[in-house]
Amino acid sequence: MKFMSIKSIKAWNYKSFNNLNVNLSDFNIIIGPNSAGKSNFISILQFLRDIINSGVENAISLQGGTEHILNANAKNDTAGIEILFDAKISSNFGSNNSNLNITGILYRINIELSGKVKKLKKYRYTETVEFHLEDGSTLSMSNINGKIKMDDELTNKLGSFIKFILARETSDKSILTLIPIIPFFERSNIPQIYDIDPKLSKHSIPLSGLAELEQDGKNIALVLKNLTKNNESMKKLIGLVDMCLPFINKIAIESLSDKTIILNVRENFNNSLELPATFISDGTIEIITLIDILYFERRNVVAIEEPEKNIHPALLQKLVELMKEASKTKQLIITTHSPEIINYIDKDNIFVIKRDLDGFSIIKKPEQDKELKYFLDEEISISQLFSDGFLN
Amino acid sequence: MEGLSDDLFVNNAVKKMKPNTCIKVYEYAEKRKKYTTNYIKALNKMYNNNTGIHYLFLADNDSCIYPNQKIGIIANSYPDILMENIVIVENEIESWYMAGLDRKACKKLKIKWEEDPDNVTKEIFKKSLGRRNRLEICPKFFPITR
Repeated sequence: MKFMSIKSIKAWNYKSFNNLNVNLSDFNIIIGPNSAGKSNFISILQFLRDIINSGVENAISLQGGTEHILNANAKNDTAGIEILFDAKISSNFGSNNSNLNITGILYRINIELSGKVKKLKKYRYTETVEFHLEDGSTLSMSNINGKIKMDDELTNKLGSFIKFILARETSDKSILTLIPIIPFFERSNIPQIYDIDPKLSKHSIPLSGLAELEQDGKNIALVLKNLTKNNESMKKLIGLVDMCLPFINKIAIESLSDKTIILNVRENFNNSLELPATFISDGTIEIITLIDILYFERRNVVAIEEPEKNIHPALLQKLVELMKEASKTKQLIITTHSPEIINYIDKDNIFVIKRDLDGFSIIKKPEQDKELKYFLDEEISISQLFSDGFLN
Repeated sequence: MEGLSDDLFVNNAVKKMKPNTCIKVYEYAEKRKKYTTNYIKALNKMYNNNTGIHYLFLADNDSCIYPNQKIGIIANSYPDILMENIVIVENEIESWYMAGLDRKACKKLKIKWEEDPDNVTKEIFKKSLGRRNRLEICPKFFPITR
């Protein structure tokens, strides 16, 4: 069981979505034609991540401002998202050591806009934590724009913990909205989005930088440098790379004189020579980066945009196997344009995004789409329908 | 549809004539017969269940003497097809591009005017376009008033 995973996502008037409501599983493949709304769907996770990392106003700015969040055809000036996490966090917060298990955390942000330029009028950020009691009942506690509210019964049960929670309410409200209620909310539970650009990884990068992989994967050399310090991790990495690229026998990080580092790879073909990233194929870098994301990055919810971009179709089956395996320990949300990837995925894991006649994005499982079901009943695969453009 | 020329015709002409109708083109010429048959079966069921979805199967008459001969060949290849949904193009879709174009329109498009469009074949049409790309030129056929 993962620590936390997304159970459902809702969005209203958010970008191309009019009224989104979707339940996710551990392994989710999002398909659809260009401009259907796949990236807008992923941006919901980005928005939440940015709210947690930088606050609501910065998160709106990072999305390009309110005018780019509100759907152009929205019937009112209100937009928002709601993400429900499934959690299984045991605690003994309760007085007399009674167990209060956290079973769900819900994040909701609703923004109201005004005027022709859609200026931010106000926003309401809500974080609700649901506690499950030993007797089977549930209680909840909410952080609404920094103000803590909770069930009376929960106040009694929480005992000393409540003093800590309520004490926080007296501090700066603007900061409180940025701090989750759950003080032990681990960074690993914040969704991370990856859109790898292997060309960026071909250059040397400064020795100082983030230890975790950045969204575009450009700091993979630095991430692997830390990984090389652990022999077991390195063996695991080489083993996984070997599944896809058996001609690679060594991955190393070279320190250069200008305090930068670069990724080097040694191939069986030229055993004594280590090739710097500049001469490594985009696909090789992409696969190494994907393996890092799937098996080494400490994130429980991961979205990857079009992982197939630089990878030969013959390798995609192995990539899918790696993703399926990784989804046992972290929740994956993958967008793809690849019929090969779709071919290897169970249709229960697939979501189709398309535009309705009014231009709003809709997302459905193939089985929920009445028209698609006729095709599926005649043994036409999702991959074939996708290639033939019937998912548009 | 058989191929790209048919696809271009539908996307540029039919969609403009029927702007409120959602039209999806499936090119069958290079697909395995089994795949196309499955699509036909699914579309038949959709039609029978009143989903509002209808299909047409377009084919060039090619060297057949009369359209019914071609319809027979198609029905033989795809036994599940509804005969009334087969549309035979006389003789190739390229002749539909030329149909209705007068000398003035042809001059504007820089193509040779054909007195009898029914006899325009792929080869004649291609020759008329010269080095120009079909994807670029074909859409220009349709804004012209006929």
